[in-house]
Amino acid sequence: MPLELSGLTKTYSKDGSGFRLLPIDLTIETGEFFCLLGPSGCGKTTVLRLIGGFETPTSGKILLNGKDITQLPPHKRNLHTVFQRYALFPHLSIFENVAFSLRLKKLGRSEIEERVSEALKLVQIEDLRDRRTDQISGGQAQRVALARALVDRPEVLLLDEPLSALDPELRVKMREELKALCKKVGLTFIMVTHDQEEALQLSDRMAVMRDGQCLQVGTSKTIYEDPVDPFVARFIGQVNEITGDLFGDSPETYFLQSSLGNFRIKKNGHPLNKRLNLILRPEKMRLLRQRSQVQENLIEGSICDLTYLGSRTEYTVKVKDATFKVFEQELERLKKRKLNVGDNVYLTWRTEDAILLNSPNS
Amino acid sequence: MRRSNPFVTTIFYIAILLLYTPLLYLILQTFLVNPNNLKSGFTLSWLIKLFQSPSLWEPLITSLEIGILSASLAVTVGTLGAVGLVEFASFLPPPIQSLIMLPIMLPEVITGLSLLLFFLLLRVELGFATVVIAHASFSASFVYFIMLEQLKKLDPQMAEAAQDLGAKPHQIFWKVTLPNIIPGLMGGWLLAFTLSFDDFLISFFTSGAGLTTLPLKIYSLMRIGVTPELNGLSFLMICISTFLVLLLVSKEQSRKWVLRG
Amino acid sequence: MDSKATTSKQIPVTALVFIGWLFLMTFLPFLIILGMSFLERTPLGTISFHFNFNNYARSFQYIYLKVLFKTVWLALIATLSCLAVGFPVAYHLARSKGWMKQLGLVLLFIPFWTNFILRIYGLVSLLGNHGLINQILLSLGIITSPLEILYTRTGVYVGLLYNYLPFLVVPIFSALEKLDPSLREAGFDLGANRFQVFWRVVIPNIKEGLFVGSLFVFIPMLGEYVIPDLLGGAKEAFLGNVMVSQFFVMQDWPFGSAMAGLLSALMLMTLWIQTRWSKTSGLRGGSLNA
Repeated sequence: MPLELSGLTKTYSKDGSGFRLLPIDLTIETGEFFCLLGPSGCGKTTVLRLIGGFETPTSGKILLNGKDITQLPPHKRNLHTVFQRYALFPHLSIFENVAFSLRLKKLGRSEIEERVSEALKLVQIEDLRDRRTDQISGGQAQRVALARALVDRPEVLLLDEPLSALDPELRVKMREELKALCKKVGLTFIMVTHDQEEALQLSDRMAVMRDGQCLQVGTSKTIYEDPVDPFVARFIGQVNEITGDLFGDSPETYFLQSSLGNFRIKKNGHPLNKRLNLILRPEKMRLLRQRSQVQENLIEGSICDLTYLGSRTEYTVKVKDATFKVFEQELERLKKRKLNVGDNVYLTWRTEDAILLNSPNS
Repeated sequence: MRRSNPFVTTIFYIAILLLYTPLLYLILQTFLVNPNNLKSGFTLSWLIKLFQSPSLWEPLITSLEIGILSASLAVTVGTLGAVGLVEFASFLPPPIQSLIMLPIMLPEVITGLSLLLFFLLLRVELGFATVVIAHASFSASFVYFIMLEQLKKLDPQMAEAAQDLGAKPHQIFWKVTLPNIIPGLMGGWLLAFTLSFDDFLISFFTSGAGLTTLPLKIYSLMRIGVTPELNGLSFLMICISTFLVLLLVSKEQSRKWVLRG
Repeated sequence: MDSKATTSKQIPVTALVFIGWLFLMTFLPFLIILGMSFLERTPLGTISFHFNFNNYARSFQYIYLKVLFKTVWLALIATLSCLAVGFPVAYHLARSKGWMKQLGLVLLFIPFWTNFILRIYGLVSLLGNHGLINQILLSLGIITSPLEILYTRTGVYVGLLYNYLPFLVVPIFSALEKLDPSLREAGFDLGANRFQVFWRVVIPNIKEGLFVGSLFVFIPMLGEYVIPDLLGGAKEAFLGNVMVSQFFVMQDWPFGSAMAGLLSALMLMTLWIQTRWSKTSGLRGGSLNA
């Protein structure tokens, strides 16, 4: 059964800064790994805290399995949180930290023993059970926090930037484990993060947020390939942008008229004579050593910087007063003529790879 | 980079030496046959006399009792305040802030006199109880600040984590908050005890005729003139104080307050 | 967006216990003494509830003004002496390293946790006619009759210096600690010698610490009672001593209360200057061309 947020809002009126969470409607399916992604201050943590019960919404409802939990205090909601800094209890051992919720429920000693051991085993830290919290590493603390939240068998696990306190190497490793854990326990995971790579890798679906507003909800692929907003496009992955006006001389062909030239675009719902942003992903663009037969979607420029990264090379191409990023896969050795800074090149792309979005200023 | 210059270093060591001279001299006097004559030879008789004279033991017991009771009272009140105000501490209205600072800022002579007037107006008989209350009235604020610092160091997520795991408000306090502020409680108690044990002026005003604390006893002996027992007593008190300081310094939470006096 | 900002939560009962306690046990007695200062003592020695400002007017008579000025003056000289001794001490501590620094600080403070009265007694037995100083000087033949130190103004200065020194060392020490060591290095690097670095880099950056620290000892000195009482003679009475004698010798509580009000006002004023100064000095801090 899903977790539903309907028309959820939250208004802060602290010192007049007036943060607002605009109405959010979301349905998160059982067993789904869902990410709330956005820059700091976008309201993603607020959403998580509203679900966790640490804040009360200004309006709207939260339904868990059809049951309204909006007004319930945290300890009466069947969901648990993994905190950003883990918030392990320093006065308790690892075992007692994990056993905390079970002890509050006054379960029998053997059952506690059994369930804690099971939880510790699940996150592979059975050997740490008698340590103190200051005797374990950051990665281990993360596992304790997970075990502590899972031991009580919640329906939903909330994770507040759980990986941000770890060093980069460990962070990448833990991503895989988190994903595997989610599938293994079959629970709904809702994770807050500002790391787009993390969200892309982990989530089944994600919501991209900005300024208290949910901009787009979808799978990683949808968000990356078909962003609905220039902000979403820029926030996830790198982009090249061309701003121009839409015009068409026939019902079949539309063009974007810009200072860099006219480019053909795929027909979609945009009205004519509208100011639009053409968004191009660097890996979807190609560099041509010389002017080819292709006449469409061609820009002439010169390479002003290049970085060889092994599997690919990243070029920065200067076109008039704009710069473009182009990633080229190093597919075959020596196949292509080597390019150097200062070389003249032509940029091109396939019409269907271009993303057309409303210009934010229009 | 060069180290401190010798002039500065010399002043430092002379200052430290001078700070200890009066106390070391008191200790030395305890063992002199004639405390006012360095050449009179050494004896242990004054110390032995001290242990035999009940008139000096009684004030010590009184001081200890007052210290224990007032420290416990101050810790209770101060901790309640800190627990309640920790969330608001940084944006308390100025009148409340001033109220909390008042016992620390007010000169002791005014604190003492105003409490005396207060007790007289209420027709409370001066004595043991008034001294205990008076001591707790000024040390509660010190305890408050120690506890506040300790509580601020607690990760606020920890209380939320406990709540998230099913703890009710009172369970959060007993099972999570309290076990984590015990070091601060102990430091605060020791500080309050030391403040009470050391206090002269406020006891002077609020004790009435019948009650004599150790500092009051020393004061009255001083007024009479230097007596050898007084030196023995000094020796004993220096030992107690040194022990207390070392205990306080060993507690990180209160170290800062030791260095503020 | 933290939880504390969300709602105007009400102050919990536990805090009210504390606030109520402070109100009842500190503020109310203080109010009583303030109220008393506007009343009058009848010739019979009772207190008449006749509201007036006579006590305050009386405080401005020459003999009481003289006490007021003497209190301020002695406290000022004692503060400057503390500064003169405290600065090198703090400077040395700040330049010490590791455990030496810790040990130095602890050494500085241990005497202050022995009983206050005992410390005074230590000074009395040191400075008295039969005290250590006079004994040594007499036996060395430097003097023929004992030096009068105790029960003079010098006695008061020694007492104040002895008892307040560490409280000035600490603020100077923390100001010096906060000073970025690379500032000094930059000073040397730009061609200043040790002396110039000290006056043009170190001092301008810690002058606020010096000022605030000085007031930190100056203010409580104004309210001093025991030190002038036990180490100074009758001529060296501070405002506090005159106040207490109004209560216990003259039995004139309303007038004594007025002096308490005056003393509080004096301290409050100094405190106000301090806070004002620390607010404005933020703009001037760190300028090199001072």
